[in-house]
Amino acid sequence: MQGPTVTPFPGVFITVVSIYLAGVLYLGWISSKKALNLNEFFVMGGSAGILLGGLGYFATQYSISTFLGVPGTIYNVGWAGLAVSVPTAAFSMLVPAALVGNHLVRLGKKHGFLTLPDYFADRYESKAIRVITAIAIIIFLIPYMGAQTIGAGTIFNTFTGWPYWVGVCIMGLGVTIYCFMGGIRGAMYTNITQGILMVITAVLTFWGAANLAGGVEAANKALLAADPKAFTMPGSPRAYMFYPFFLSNVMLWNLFAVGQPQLATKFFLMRDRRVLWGAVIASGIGMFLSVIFMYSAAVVGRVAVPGIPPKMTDWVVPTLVSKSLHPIIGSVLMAGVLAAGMSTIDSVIVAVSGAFARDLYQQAINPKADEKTVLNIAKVATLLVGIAATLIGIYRPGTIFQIILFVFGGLGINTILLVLGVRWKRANKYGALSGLIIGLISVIYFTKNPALTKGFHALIPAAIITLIVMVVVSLLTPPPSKEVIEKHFK
Amino acid sequence: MERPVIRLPESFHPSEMPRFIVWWIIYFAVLYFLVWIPGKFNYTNELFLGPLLIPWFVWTWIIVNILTIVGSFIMYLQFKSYGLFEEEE
Repeated sequence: MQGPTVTPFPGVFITVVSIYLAGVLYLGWISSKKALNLNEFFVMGGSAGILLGGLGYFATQYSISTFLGVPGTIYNVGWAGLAVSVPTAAFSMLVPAALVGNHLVRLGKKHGFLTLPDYFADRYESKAIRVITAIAIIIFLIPYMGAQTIGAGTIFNTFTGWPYWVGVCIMGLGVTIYCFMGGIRGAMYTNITQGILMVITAVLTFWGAANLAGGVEAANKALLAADPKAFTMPGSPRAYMFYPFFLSNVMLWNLFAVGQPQLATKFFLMRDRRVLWGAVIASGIGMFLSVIFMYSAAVVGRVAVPGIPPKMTDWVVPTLVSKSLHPIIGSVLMAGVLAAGMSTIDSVIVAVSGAFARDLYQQAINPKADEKTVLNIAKVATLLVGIAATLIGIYRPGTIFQIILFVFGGLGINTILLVLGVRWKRANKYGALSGLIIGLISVIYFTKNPALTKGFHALIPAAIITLIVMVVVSLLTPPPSKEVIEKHFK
Repeated sequence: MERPVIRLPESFHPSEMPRFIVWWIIYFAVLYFLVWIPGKFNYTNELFLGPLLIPWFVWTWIIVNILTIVGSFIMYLQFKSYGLFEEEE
């Protein structure tokens, strides 16, 4: 399927993207020299500094959806669409850091936690919680990776005319190779380049769109004459941002983001709390600049590149770039969009391979396995997960943004276990286990029956139910052991 | 130097908190919950345009984000000057 109004520039695009891919593979190869044990492979020995920590968190959270799927949605909504993540963008890492990060940085160092289920199993003294969380991670995150590769297929198809599946394979397998080599260190090294490239992409796309439309004010004047409701809530022509959904978005991308294992484990990577709070500033700046410029470009794009059909909105940004910028700059920016997807997939692949190797194999199936065996299993899992994600990308089960919203819902439940585990000494395994199971069932039920949520994202009522269940069951059952209190809170 | 603290119930962690951190929590909470309030400057179905004909609600979000980043930076400097990072080491 070819994009509607894009001018392809295959030669330049392939050259620029090849240079970019060679660069990230080189970084993966450098990292492979250090990824010789589990601690290095999963949390790079807890040695990340401010730039790695901050840009790594930002580049992992903001995915290809930020650069293709969401701008595509906003194109048909207007300024109201910016509410997807602009209102509290700078809170995206601040809220998780304040609620749990401060504690997890110290605990990760002290007790050698490598994965989110590692922490849950220890805090709640339960192997069952480890297994359930690990399985949920595998089920929810593989489609999430697939969603990222969908974007790559769109971009390659748009700029080269190659079949959609070629782009999916290039991205899926490229990330898999550098994660296979360097584990999380490979992912984090590439995240620095990718994070910077993402901000540049957002700023230049906005600049290109504004130029094409004759300036921001001129674009707004034209849009105002055509559709004044595009300047009000809930947006137009697609009335999208109703108040309950607006509030859901305000909470979803900061408070509930920390339930994503690929983000929660970032706190185990950081050297100390100085790094944590420095990283909060770096990621806040990166996130705010990316979304304000990229999403504004989508609104201005309504005037700059009008008439893109609602079913083809993933093409809005590629169209803008191809029409408004020189092919070399356009190709660099498209590499930036690919970077957004790759920087998310890499951390997710490591989180999922951790769920397989560390949480299911080493801790549940074969506790006597030596470190080398588990590391090899982690690497094999990395390959298999990467291939599965690529296949999902080819199959394309939904739009990028639909898949992302579903995944954030499913794993957002972890947030309640994490926050209560860190902040409430009375939270125990019975509460956590019942909260987790009922929470997961609720989020799937509410996703299937959206009318029941009254316009809120399915995660919001599911999280409230999880919170109530966890508090009530914890209070009705014996408190955690003295060892846990001593280990986690002294 | 002993810093003034605020005591919380024993079941919470931490069960006491330096008072200056509570002020930071209030600062960020005000910014965070400001965008929950429906109204002309945030969530509105009225046409209310600011500079460059961009709706005022977008300008509100821009200001909230800038104040959050500036606040995070000042808080970081304060943590550093109070020696909180060294205490950990």
